[in-house]
Amino acid sequence: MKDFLCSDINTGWKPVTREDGLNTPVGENLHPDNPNDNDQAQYGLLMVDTHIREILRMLGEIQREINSMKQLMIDMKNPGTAPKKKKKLKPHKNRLARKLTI
Amino acid sequence: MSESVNSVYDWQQIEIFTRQILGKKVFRDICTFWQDKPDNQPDQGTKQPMRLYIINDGACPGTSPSSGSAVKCVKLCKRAVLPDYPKNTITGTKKSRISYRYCLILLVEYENGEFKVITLPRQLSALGSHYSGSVMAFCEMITPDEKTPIPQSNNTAGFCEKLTLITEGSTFSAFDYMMTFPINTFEPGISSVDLENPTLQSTILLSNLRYESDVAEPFLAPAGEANFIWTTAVDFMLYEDITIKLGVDQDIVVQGLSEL
Repeated sequence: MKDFLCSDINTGWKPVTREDGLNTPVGENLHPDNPNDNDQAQYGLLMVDTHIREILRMLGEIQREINSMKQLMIDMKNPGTAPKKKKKLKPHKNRLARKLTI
Repeated sequence: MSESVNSVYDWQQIEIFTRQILGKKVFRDICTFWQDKPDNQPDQGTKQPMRLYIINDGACPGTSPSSGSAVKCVKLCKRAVLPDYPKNTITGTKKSRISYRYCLILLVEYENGEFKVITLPRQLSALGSHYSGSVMAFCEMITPDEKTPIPQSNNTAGFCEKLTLITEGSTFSAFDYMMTFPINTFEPGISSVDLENPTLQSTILLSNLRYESDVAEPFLAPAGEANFIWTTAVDFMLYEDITIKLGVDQDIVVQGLSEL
């Protein structure tokens, strides 16, 4: 074997590219090597599940925002239906003073 | 020489940004240029040197062609890896895939003292295909009729390798090497939670490149339309070390004194 003087190739740190289980190149085994390894077998599903959960969480937030906006619009259109402000109770001391004057 | 001893009360909170290496794997003496053993031979599926049929100096195609001058030796001048490679991909099947594309520049010395530079795979063609002026060598990893690459692959215990050619119009622009291995090969092991970390990064190092070239025998190669051309069969192999590290960004807070 002949040594070949050439500089090493170093990519430096780069973000990892991720690929779902369906984009496996031809010739590569789609299934995990050990079918008994439950953790390994579940990994593809776990990745998909995580994404779905995140999307559902965002959809929930959007729905809550829409409901809140709807309620705001209803309140603006019908000001009478808006909840009235509670009357402030007079301080206890004032009532007592009035009784004493009578 | 007097150095003031700092009290622990002088220490301050220092935030350090660093990269934590989660796992590392070194593959040594990996053969990245080979051809598969034919099905009719023992140990099929194992690697054997890529047989290059290098056209002799002064040889021309014909029905009874002149032999020209045979190849004396072949040296590797350069292995050029294409920009943006090597790449690392984490697959959905919990595997890591390293891929890179490269060209080989060979210096060929002939028996008559002549030298020629060959760029592979650009000047490579299928054994038995029609000979054209730019072709300098033939190999068996291209189909002669359709000129499509025949991928060479090696699979052992979840460790999968593939070598193929990248087509660019009617020529081949690069060799494409791909290696796939299970994530649990990394040392120490990487958890599924760490793999999903959005800051997950990787670095790949290709080092210690070596090659083997053996001039085998003269070979009268078919060159299309009942023509033949004299070549010299040369067995060629490339070896190198491939190191891959996976890591994440970390903010670490320590108590101490900055020297600045």
